Amino acid sequence: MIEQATYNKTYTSTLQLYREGWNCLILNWRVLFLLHGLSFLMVFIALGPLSNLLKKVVEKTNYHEAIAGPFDYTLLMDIINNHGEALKLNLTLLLSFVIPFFLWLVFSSGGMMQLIKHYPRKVPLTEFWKGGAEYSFRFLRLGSYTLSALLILCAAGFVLFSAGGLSPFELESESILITKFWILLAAIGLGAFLISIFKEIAKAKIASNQDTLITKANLAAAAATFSTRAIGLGLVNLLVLIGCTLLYLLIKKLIGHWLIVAIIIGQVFLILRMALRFIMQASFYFQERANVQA
Amino acid sequence: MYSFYPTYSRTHQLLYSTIVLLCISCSYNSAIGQNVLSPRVANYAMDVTLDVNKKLLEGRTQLIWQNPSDDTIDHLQFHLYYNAFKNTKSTFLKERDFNSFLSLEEDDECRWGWSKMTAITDEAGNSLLDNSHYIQPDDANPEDRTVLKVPLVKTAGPKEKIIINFSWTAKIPKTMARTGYNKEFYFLAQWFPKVGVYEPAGMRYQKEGAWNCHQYHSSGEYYSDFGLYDVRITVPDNYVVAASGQLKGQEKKGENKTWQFIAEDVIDFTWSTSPHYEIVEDQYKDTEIKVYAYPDKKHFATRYLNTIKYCMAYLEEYLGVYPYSTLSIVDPPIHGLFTGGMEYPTLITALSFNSFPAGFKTPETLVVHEFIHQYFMQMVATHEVEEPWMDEGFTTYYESRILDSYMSDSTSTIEVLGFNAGNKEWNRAEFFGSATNQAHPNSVKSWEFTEGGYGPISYNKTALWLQTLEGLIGTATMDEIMKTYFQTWKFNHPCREDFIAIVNELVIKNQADKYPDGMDWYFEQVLFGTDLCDYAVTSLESRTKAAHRGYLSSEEHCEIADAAEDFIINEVKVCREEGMYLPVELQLTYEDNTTETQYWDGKDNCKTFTIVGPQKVIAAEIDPDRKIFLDKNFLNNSMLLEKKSGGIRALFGRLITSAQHSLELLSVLI
Ligand SMILES: [Zn+2]
Repeated sequence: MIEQATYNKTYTSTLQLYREGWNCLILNWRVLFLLHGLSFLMVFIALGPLSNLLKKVVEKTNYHEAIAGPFDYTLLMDIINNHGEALKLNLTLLLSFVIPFFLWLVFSSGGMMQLIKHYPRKVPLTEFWKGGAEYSFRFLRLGSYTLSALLILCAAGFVLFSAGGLSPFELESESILITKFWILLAAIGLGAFLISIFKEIAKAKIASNQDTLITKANLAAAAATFSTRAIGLGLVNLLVLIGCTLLYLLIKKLIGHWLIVAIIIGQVFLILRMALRFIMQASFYFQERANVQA
Repeated sequence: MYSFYPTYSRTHQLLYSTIVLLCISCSYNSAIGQNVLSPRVANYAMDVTLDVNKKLLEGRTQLIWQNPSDDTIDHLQFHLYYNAFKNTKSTFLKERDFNSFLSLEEDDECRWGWSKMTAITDEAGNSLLDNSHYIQPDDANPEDRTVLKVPLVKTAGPKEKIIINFSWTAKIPKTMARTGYNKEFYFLAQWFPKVGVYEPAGMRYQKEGAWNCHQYHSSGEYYSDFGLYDVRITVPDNYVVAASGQLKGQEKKGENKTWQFIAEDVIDFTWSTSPHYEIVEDQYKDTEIKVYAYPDKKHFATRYLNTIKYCMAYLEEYLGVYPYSTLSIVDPPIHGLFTGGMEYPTLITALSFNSFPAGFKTPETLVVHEFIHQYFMQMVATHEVEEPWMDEGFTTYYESRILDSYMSDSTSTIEVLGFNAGNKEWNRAEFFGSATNQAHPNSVKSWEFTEGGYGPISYNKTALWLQTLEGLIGTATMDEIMKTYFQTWKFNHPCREDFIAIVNELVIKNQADKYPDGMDWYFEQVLFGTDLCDYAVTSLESRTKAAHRGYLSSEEHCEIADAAEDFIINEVKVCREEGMYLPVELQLTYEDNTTETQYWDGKDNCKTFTIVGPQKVIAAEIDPDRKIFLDKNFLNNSMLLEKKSGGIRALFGRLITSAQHSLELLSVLI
C-alpha cells in the first residue's frame, strides 16, 4: 500500500475534508484538461455529421445567421419537417455516444481515484491511466448497481405516482396529482442524493480494500451512507454545486446574450462541474481514509 | 294538445301545455316584432329534469317548426345523437376506434347512453310515434339509431308553421365524446331530439328540397336551423347550471330547482351543471360574460376574460358585432376534460391545467378558438359535417390572427424555458408535420376522411390557404371579403360556392390587374386538390462577361473593349418543387445592398432569371414577405452567392457545450 499509511492526517470537520478535496484538485489540476479534452473530443465527433447537415441546409441561405440566433420555431420545424430522416440519423449517432462516454466516465473515475490515493504526493498523469485500468471493471459494476438503484427509485416513484390511477377521468382534481408529483420528486431527489453518497463511499472502500469482489465494500458503503458525517459531506458537495449552478445561470442571464460569451461561460461551468466531481470523490476518499486510520 | 304529456294528470297536462305554448308563442311572436336576427325555423320550448341518481333526462318538448320551402312536407327527421353511445354498433363508434378513447373495462356504472321518444303528437293530437322509425341516410348501418324519421299525419304546407309535441327520455353517457357525466359534472350537448334541416331547392347544393339530417359520425360536428329556445331545466337544488342564452329565472321546488333560460336566434342549446361551479362575471359592452369553473381552476378566469374581451373587440372590428347578451365560458374539471374545447351557441368550453406553466397558452387558445365559432358555425351556420373546413378552418385562421396580435407571433402558443412558438407558425408546422396532410382534398365530407387527415386538412390547411390568400390579395381585400361574407351570410347557411363567389367578386373589383378572372384557379388547388406548395431558389451564379472584341471601332484594328457597364451576368434559377402553383415574387439583392423584385407566374417547373448589369446579385429570395404561408419549406426560399459559415460555427459551439453538459449528467451514476 502506498502513501495511505504514511499520510496521517486527522480531519475534525466536514469542511476540512472538503477543503482537502480542493487541495487535491489543485495539486492535480491538469486532470481537468484531460477530462474536458476527452469530453470535447467525443462530442465534437458525435456532432460532426449534424453540423455538416445544418451547414448544407442553411449556410448559403438567409438563415445563416438565424440558425445561431434566438430560438426560432419555424426554422426548427422546417428542418425537422424537410430533413427529418437525416436529422434522426444524426441524433441517433449522437445518442449512441452515451455508452462510450459512460465508459469513459467509469474509466476516468478510476483514474481520478489513483491520483487521489497518492495525495498529498503529486504524481505524473500516467498514474491516471493506470488507475483507470485498475478500477474500471469494479467501478463499472458499481455503476450498474447505482443505475439499477436509480431506475428502481424512479420506477417506485412512478408506481406511487400512479397509485390510485392516472386516468384524468378518475381524478377529482389535478391538484392531487401535482402535490403527489412534487412530494415524489423531492423523495426521488433525496434518494438520488443518498445514492450519490453511497457510490462515493463505495468507490473509496473499493480503492481502500483492493478486493476484487465489491460486495463487501458495497454493503459497508450502504451502511455508512446514513452516517451524519457522510450526509454532511454529501450536503457540502451538493450545496457548492447548487451555488455554482445558480451563479452560472445568473451570469448567463446577465451576459449570455453574446453568443461567444455564452459559450465561454458554458465551458467554464462545465470544467467547474468536472472539478466538483473530482472534489467530491476526493473528499469522500479522505473521509474513508480517516475512518480506516481511526 | 292534452295528450302531449302522458305521464301527467289530465288537468296538469292541459295547464302545462297551455303555459308552454303561450310562453314560446309569446317569445316567438314578440321577438318577431322586435329584433329578430335569424329565420326562426326550429323553435323549442323544453322542460327537462335531470335525475342525478339514474343519470336520466326526462324531457318534454314543444317544437314550432316552420317549413322554409315551397314544398309540402310529409315527414320530419330528428337527430337522436345520444344513440351514438348506445352500443359499439353505432356508426359513430364503428367509425372511431372506440378502444382508443374508452376503457374496455366496464366499471360499476354502465357508461352507455341512449335517447328515445316516448310520445309524439301533432297539434291536432294525432300520435306520430307508431309510424316513426330510424333511418340511416349515410351508411345504411341498421344498428345506427341516430336519425328518426317521423311521418306526419297532417303534412306541412309551403312556409307553414306546425307544432309538434314530444316527450323523451335520455340516458346520459359517461365520459363520451363532448357530452356526458363524470362524478358530479354533467355536460349536456346534443342531448335532446333535434329536428334536422330541410333545405329548400336552391339552398346550398340542393336542386330540389330535401332533408339534410346526417347520422352522428365520429368526425365532424353538427348542422341545424336557427330558432328560439325556451328551456326549463330542473336539477338538484345545490347544482349550478350554465347554459346557452339568458337566465330568466330560478324557482325552487322541494329539493330541486328549476332554471329557465331563453336563447334567441341560435342553432342549438347546450348546458352544464355541477354543484361545484363557481362563477366569475365580467362584461364586454352589452354582453355579460360568465366563467364557470371549479374552485381549483377559478384563477384561470382572469386569463379567459382578458383574452375573450380582446377577441370580442377584434372580431367586432373585423367581422361584426357579437349580438348576444350573454357568453358563458365553462372550464371543465379534470375528469370532465372530454367536454373541453367545444363551441355551442353563446356557451363555449375551454380547458385549463393547473399542472401546466403559464407559458402554455392552451386556455387562451381554446377560448379564442371556441369564441370565433360564434361567428363561423353559430352565426354563419355552415354545415359542419359536410364542409368542416368552413367553420374549423376559418376559425383557425382567425385564431392565429387574434392570438398573434394579442400576444406575439412568436409566443402566442407556447413560451416556456426559452422554447417559444406563435400560433400561426405552430399551425403551419402541425400541417407539414402531419403524415396525412395529402390524404384527401379539403372538399370532402367529415366522415369521408377515411384515410385520416380530418384535423390537418380541415383546420390547419384551411388556415394556411386563407393566410396565403391574404398574402396574395392583400390584407385589406381579405378583410373586406371576410366582413362581406360574414355580413351577407350571418344567420344563414352558406356553402363553399357562396364564399368563393364573394372572394371572386371582391378580388375582381379590387385587383383586376392581378387576378382579372378571380381566384377559381386558386380554389381548384387548395380546396379540390391535394398538392402541396414549395418554391425554391435552386441556383445563383454570377460570372463576368467577356469584354466585347473584334473589329469594334474600325475595320483596321482588332481590339478588346474596356469593361462595359453591363459586365456581370447573374443567373438565378427558381423551381416549383411541388404540384401547387402560385404567383411568386423573387427579390434580388445586389452588392450595394439595393434590391429589385421580379415576378413569376410560378406555373412552369423552373425558371431562370438572367440579369446582366454592373453588379453581382449576392442574394436571391423567393417570397421575401412570407405571403405564401403554404410553402412547405422556407429553408430553400433563399440563396446567397457566398457561403456564410459564422452562424453555423457559433451554433456548433453552442451545441457542443450543451451536449457536453448533458453527457456530464451521466456522472450521477459513477
Ligand atoms: Zn373548432
